[in-house]
Amino acid sequence: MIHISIVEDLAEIRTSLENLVKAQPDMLLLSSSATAEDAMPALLELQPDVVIMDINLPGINGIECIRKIKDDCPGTQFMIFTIYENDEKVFDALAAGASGYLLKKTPTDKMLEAIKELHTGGSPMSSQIARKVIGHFSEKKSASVALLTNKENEILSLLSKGFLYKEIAAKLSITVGTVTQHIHNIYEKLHVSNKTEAINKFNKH
Amino acid sequence: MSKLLIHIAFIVLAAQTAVGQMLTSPIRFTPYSIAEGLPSNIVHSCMQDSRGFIWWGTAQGLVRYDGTGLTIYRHSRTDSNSMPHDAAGNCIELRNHQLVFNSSARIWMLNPYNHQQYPPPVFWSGKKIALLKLLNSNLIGVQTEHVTYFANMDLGVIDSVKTPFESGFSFIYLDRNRVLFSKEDKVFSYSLSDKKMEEWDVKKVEPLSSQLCNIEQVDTINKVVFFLHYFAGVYSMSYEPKSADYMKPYPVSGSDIGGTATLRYKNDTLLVAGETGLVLLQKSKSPVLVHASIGQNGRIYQDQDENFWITGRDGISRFNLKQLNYQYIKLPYPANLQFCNKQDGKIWMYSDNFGTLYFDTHLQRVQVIDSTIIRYCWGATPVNNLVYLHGNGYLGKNATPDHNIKMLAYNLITKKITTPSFLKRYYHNAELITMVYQAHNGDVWYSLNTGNGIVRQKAATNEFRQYRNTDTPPPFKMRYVNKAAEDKQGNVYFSVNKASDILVWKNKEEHFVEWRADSLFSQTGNHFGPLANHIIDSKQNLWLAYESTGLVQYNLITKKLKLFERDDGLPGNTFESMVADAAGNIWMATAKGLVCLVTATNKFLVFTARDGLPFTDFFASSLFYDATDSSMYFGSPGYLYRVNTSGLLANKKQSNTRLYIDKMDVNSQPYYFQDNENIRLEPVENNLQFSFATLDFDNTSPNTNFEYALVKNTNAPIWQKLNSAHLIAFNQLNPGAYTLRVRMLNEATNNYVEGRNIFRFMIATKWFNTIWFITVCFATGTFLVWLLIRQFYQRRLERQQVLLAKEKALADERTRIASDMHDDVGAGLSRILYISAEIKNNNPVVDDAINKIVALSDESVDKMNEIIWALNQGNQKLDELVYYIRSQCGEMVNNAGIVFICEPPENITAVAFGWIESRNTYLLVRRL
Repeated sequence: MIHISIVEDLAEIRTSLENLVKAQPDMLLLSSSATAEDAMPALLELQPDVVIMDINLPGINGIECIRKIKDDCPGTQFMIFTIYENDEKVFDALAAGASGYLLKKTPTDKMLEAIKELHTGGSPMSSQIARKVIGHFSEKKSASVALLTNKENEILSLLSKGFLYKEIAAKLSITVGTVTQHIHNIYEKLHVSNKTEAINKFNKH
Repeated sequence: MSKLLIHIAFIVLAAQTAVGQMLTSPIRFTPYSIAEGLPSNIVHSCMQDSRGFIWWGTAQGLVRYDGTGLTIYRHSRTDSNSMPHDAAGNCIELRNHQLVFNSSARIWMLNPYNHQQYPPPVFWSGKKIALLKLLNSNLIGVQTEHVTYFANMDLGVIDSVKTPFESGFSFIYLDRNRVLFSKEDKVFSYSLSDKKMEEWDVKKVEPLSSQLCNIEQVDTINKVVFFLHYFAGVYSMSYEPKSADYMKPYPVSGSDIGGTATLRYKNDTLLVAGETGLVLLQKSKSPVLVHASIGQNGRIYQDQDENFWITGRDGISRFNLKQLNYQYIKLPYPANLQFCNKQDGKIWMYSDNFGTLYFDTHLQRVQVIDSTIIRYCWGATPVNNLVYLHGNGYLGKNATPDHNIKMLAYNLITKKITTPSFLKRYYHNAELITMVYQAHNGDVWYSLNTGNGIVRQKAATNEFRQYRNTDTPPPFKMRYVNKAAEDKQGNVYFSVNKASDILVWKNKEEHFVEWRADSLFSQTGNHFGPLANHIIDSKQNLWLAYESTGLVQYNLITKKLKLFERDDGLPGNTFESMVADAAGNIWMATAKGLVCLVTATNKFLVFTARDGLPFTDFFASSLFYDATDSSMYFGSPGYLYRVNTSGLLANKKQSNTRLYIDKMDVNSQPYYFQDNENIRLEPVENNLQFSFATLDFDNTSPNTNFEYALVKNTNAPIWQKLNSAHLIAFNQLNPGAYTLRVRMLNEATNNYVEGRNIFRFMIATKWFNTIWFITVCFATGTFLVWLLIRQFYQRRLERQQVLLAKEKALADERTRIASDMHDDVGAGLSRILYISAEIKNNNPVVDDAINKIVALSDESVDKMNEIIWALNQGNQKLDELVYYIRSQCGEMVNNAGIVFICEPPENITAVAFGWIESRNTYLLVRRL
């Protein structure tokens, strides 16, 4: 059973999502909030497995919400719910602690599949986000942060050039699941790296 | 100074003793009169300016004298700036070195640097001046009809007082800012500090009462003033405190002097100029007439070099007390004395025209012992009772060659001329005795001509031994010798006429050694000419005077050698006679005067007529030094002189010649300059002519030893001879800084003496060639170029900034649009999509219209995604486009179940383009 919480300000979309989750026998909707301010106490208390988080929220946005509660919700996977994947804010949300993103236009079956995949450790990553991740880590090479493994670098490189998971898996002779697992790890490292950088900046000031 | 006074008194007193005894050299007076070019013999005043020129106010003009020439300033009808009358009175140099003088009851001015006369300041222009007088170094007194003005050295009036007398009075500075006025028996003291006139009581004194009387001198130390009375003579008066006998007459009556002016030297000694002449007055002593011819209205002036100038109605006379002091005896014949040696207080000498004689140092007289005339004789040497005469025997003035008697000597006992017969044994054919020398051990050495060598008469045994170059083996090469000197070991050094070698008698070894000059002194690198003289001094230096080579100093103990040549200051290479004085100085009689090598400094001093030497052309053997009283004797035709060598050196007159650039013409026009002024001339003022004045009162003949050099910037001077007219002309001089230097060759020392004023002038560069102009041009050009470059870059920067701002604004706008599309349009589409989906879920029978709404919404979201992607400035690059296309195509193809193979290159060239191009390219690929 996957425990799910939803944070979406648009009532129509939120209701659709709620209905979709409720209709799934292996999913349990723990909470559904229209704002981050309402969602945060519930999320901290309920500790869901997956949080579907819209970015553009009134008041505290989705990225800030993730950044605030991520460390207090160690078992929760945050899934950004966005209109398109190349939005600048998607990378910021991933760096803040999100492990994946979900396009709003995604068909329901694909959406449920993506939720399950995220729960089992997989993560999506577009080529543009991959290039940003590469750029982020190449800038922080000298920093004492956890750097990417060769395999992760390899996967990122292929992703950045527009290769699909399937193509990458074939190219590297691994399964698509392994690719998604690597990408999940990359998100974790991105999160840690980004957090370390923030702390360093704070200490310097 | 007191020594000088004593000396002058001694000179005058000695001059009055009997002729025949040793006399003291007289004071030499140098006259200046009409004969010497003076415009008038009536000379009112004498003054020396700060440069050394002597100025005389005469009845026919103001005269400048520089030692060789006179410059006369007179009235000119055509020049209104010229003095009002030819007559000039007192002349005073002001602080700014301008001269002020009185002429025809007017004050007038003269610029001594450019010789321009000009009127005085307005204050003085209408004043009728009776007397202009320098009262002290800072105060000038100007006497007018009723008022006496006191002026500073700028001729500015600082005080004035109504004169107690109307005319014919004298005034003098007393002390403490007080001035004395005197006339007849009246004396007034005026204090410039208190502005008070006080009368002194001098009525008690006779015969001054109601007589003409002038105060002439003040002794401020002893508080004594001196009155000079034309008839009564000189009186001194103590003025502080005044006592009953404060007025004392000097031991001279007025008729003795006809005194008009006094010059006080020290304490109670006065020099008085009067009609009788120059008289020396000392208390309790008889007056001494120093100089007879002065004329009326005499004045005495003492200059910076201790020259005394006596002016009066007979011109001017100059004398200097630092002259050569010597004693002399006038001989009855014009005899050329040749000295030999001294024996028993008698200095023996011989004269071709006078015979054998000696000077008795005890009796101070010359005694002729025999008037036998011997041809070509160069001395007389006494040994025991015989005085050997060196020269051809020739008895009597009227004797013929047949009467020629060889080998002559004068017998002091028989008082007859005789022939020393013992010499005949050794010199059968000899014609003359060339040398007789008695050594300190008593040995007597003889030598005669005709090649029979030297005979030694040994003192211990009285035996004779002859040494000849014909002996076997020959002891030496010389045929005979004529001079001998002895060292402390008794070694005797012989030389012979015109040979350069020395023959040395080794006293201890009793044999001869010949010294070859060229090999012995080979280290000097010189060839040695004839040896004229040789002596040995007390320090065992052998001095050898080589004609045409120089003077050799050879120390017989240390073997140290030194050669003195012309470059060392030796004035010439002819040596007539040579002696060493007690101090070790070497005196040489030469054709250029008496030369002394001061061995302490190795400097040569030359004594000539300039130093008071009565003659300069010396003869052979004409010097003799008597160590007992440090006297040196020398002879000239008709005179025997004696001087004290240390006194001679102490009174050596240094050359004080001064050379001035006197006039300057620029482009043939007089240029008025001040001394030492840095003159700046315009570029066209480049034709210059200079004239020079030489200032030398001891050398009245024009000196041709002057040279000049025009030095540009810091170049080395190239010296050229100054012509006798003392004129230099330079034409078309280029711009630059010049220094005109002048120097004079001192022939005595062979050294150059630089001129007193180094004259600097600058010819300006044309303005467009000046450094400042070029610098300004360069700086301006540089600034303009910098300004242009700066403006260029500034404008480019501004353009770039505008462009960047535009681009940023565009990018911001695109971002805003993209954000709005995403947030608003995208959210709206998503809502439509979800509402449609909700409707579809709730109504299983779905209308096609709903499906179309879902599909259109979905498609709109995709297209909007593409637009947003294209609007993103970061995506407007080739690599982003390639990767984006690949990912989109890959997904599309994969979804269709087709294997997609696309390998973008590793490094894609960084090419940027606009969002429209980016989107169109993507759409084009997608459509394909």
